[in-house]
Amino acid sequence: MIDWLAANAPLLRNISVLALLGYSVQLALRAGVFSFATVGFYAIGGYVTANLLKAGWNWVAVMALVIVVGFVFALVISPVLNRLRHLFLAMATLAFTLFIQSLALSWATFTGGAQGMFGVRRVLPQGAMIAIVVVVVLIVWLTQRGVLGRATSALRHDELLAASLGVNVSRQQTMAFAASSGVGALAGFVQVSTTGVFGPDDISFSTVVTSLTVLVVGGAIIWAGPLVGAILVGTLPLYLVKAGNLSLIIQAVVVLAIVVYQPEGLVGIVKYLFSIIRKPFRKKPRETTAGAPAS
Amino acid sequence: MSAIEITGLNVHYGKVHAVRDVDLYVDQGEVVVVVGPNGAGKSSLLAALSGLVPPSSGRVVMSGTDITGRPAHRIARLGLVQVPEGRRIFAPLTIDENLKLGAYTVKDRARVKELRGTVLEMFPILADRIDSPAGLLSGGEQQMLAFGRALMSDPHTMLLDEPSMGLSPALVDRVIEAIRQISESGLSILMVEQNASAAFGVANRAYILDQGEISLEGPVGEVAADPRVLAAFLGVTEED
Amino acid sequence: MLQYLVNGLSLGAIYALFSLGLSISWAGLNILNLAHGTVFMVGALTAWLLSEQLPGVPFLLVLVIAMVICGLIGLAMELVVFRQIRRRTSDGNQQTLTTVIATVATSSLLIAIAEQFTGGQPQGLSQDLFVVSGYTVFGIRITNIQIAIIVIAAVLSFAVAWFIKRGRQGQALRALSVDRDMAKLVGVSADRLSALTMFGAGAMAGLAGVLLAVQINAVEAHMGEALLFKAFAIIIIAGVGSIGATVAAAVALALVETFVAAYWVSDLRDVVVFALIILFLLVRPQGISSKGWQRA
Repeated sequence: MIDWLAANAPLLRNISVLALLGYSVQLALRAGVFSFATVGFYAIGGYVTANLLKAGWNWVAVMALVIVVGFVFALVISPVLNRLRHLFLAMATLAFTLFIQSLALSWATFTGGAQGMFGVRRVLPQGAMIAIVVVVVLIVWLTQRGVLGRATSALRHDELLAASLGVNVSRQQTMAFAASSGVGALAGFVQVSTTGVFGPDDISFSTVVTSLTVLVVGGAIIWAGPLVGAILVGTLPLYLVKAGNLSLIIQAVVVLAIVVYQPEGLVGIVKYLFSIIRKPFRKKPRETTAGAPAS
Repeated sequence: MSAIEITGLNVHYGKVHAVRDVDLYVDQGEVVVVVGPNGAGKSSLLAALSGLVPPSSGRVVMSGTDITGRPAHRIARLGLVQVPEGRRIFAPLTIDENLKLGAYTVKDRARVKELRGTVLEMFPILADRIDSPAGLLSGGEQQMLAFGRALMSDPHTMLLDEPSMGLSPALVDRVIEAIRQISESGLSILMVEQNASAAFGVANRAYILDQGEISLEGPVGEVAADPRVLAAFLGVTEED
Repeated sequence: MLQYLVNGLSLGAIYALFSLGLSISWAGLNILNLAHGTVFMVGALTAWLLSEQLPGVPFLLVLVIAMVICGLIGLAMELVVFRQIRRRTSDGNQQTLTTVIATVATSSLLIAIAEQFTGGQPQGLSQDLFVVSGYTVFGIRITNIQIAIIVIAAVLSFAVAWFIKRGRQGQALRALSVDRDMAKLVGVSADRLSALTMFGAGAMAGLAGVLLAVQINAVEAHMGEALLFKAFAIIIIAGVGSIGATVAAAVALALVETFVAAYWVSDLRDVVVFALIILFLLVRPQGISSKGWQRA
């Protein structure tokens, strides 16, 4: 076990970062906030971590601060976002990420410019990294149940209805966005504190694509989705090596096919298969309740 | 040949069986009303006729042409026009633009001009405000615009979905009057209504639709005199 | 001073050509096409490939081929992706979001294909494709490509504005944006009109791609991303779907950028653009919807 963990350190690191990125998008999306800001916060988390670790800070303190920075940034921009819906929200959050990318290139004293930051101490123990992911997964899972979970899922479906049921829409969405930002920044922390490098390539548009891919492949709403997605997106390239240059194209086609034909992602496919397998054993399939159209 | 002839029509929304084995016809120049409570399947029936929802089974024949399952824009081009529930005018567009869109399927420019003249004569209020956004019209005026837009397509059959909905009694009378005028110009009309008393005033024949099924049909006089109808529809509506 | 005006104007013309397609597909079809920048890049890439493979190919032919290819990409997105999503999801919100994600996936697909050609490196465009020559008028240097860009953009902007306001299909598109089902009921073929719109938007992005590639003499797989950011700002300032305001905002933004870079710090250009985005989002939360054809 220990040997395997050590041997696969790069893979596990990859999966961890991917999973955190995926959960960051999901945390916002769950509450009806479609946000592309994750990669922006990932960048902020990454650069802050690189600078602080270089300044000799203890990694636990850095981690705590990075999460706080994510929260604070989210609270600062959420008044703007709270006024926006749907496509405007998507556009504004993507603009935020594109802006951070551009800033990372031009603010060289803090970010290292086009070269990025390198030679940062790789301080995060593997156990701690796995613990971080587990804690995030647990938080997502727990908050998907109970009153809070129902409130957020109501938001996703119908904000007006949710408001009429006594859900404080803008507060819930601000909290969800803050959580999303915190986890996004945390992903940046994990990336830097395990690889020691961070630069413009890490936060390019393809990272935006990857974070969505993780979510889409696994399942956008189901709590296990990003984890499953991260494992697949993390390991698949290893098997696609044979396809060489074509692997990126294959990946993109797969994602597109899933988005169009199976929006619930792989977890959705598995669920569907289970429902087929189970059906014959059920004595009386109660169709009206079991198969209500998901609208 | 009937303007519309429906046989064995079924419509499903997901698992909801909205329309069940409906047979119905509208003769040339007739006004036929389908009365039923909320959720009886009236709107689903019209959606299946106009092609917005494909029927799961059954046949829809319009003036001898089978139009079952054809897409909405093709059915519109064959001269069947729908004035949908809630009027659904194009609010940000001007009245003029709304009327032009009504004539989207009419290729002959001279004919469009002629239709426009007829419509503006029938609804002078539209002529007065021809270049203002349609969304600024009052509810009754919007209903007139919806009629006007429908007439612009030079239809031979018109489907009306709850034309009196949300209007004051005085305006309902005005709408019924407009329907009579339209009918007199030679169109066949199929309307669905909850407001039975208003609809019975203008219709030749009536159907009662309940939970997706036709429970009663016949000339308006007979249907209106049926004790069940008196209790269920007319009794309630007259109190309003 | 006037020199910057000319430079800003030609940059603004590119912004306008690019933003119009993005704005119209959003207003008319409720699609935020995040692959628009990539389609733009494909236009530039086509110009580069053609000039490499067929030295001496006439520029006008390149322009037409690039526009057709990019138009077809737009069309393919509509047919293979957007239409399928529309058929499969009835819930409006979910449809919108799925479509946005699908455009991101399409974008990554196009970039992956483009990198097969460029090898992930910026590529220089052959000078032979379009011989750039400059004129000096009253001490201002203006090149023939700048003139071409400005003229093409001006003509197309007017054509698009007329089409949307007066054209039969333009009116139908506005009706479609307000109420898709009702538009079908008056006889508009929603599918065909969507396909036409996506083709047109793609072709205009491709045109902008070729023109910019010729002006900066370079092609790169990620060149559309920066432009997407600018287009966001332009659309937020102008309002979705308003043609005249989009062109004006495009030129204004380009001028602001050019002057900030010239008289202040060029690195601050994007900071200014982002500040404008936030400012307009705060000042005009309603103004960001178009007055002409917005949705609820």
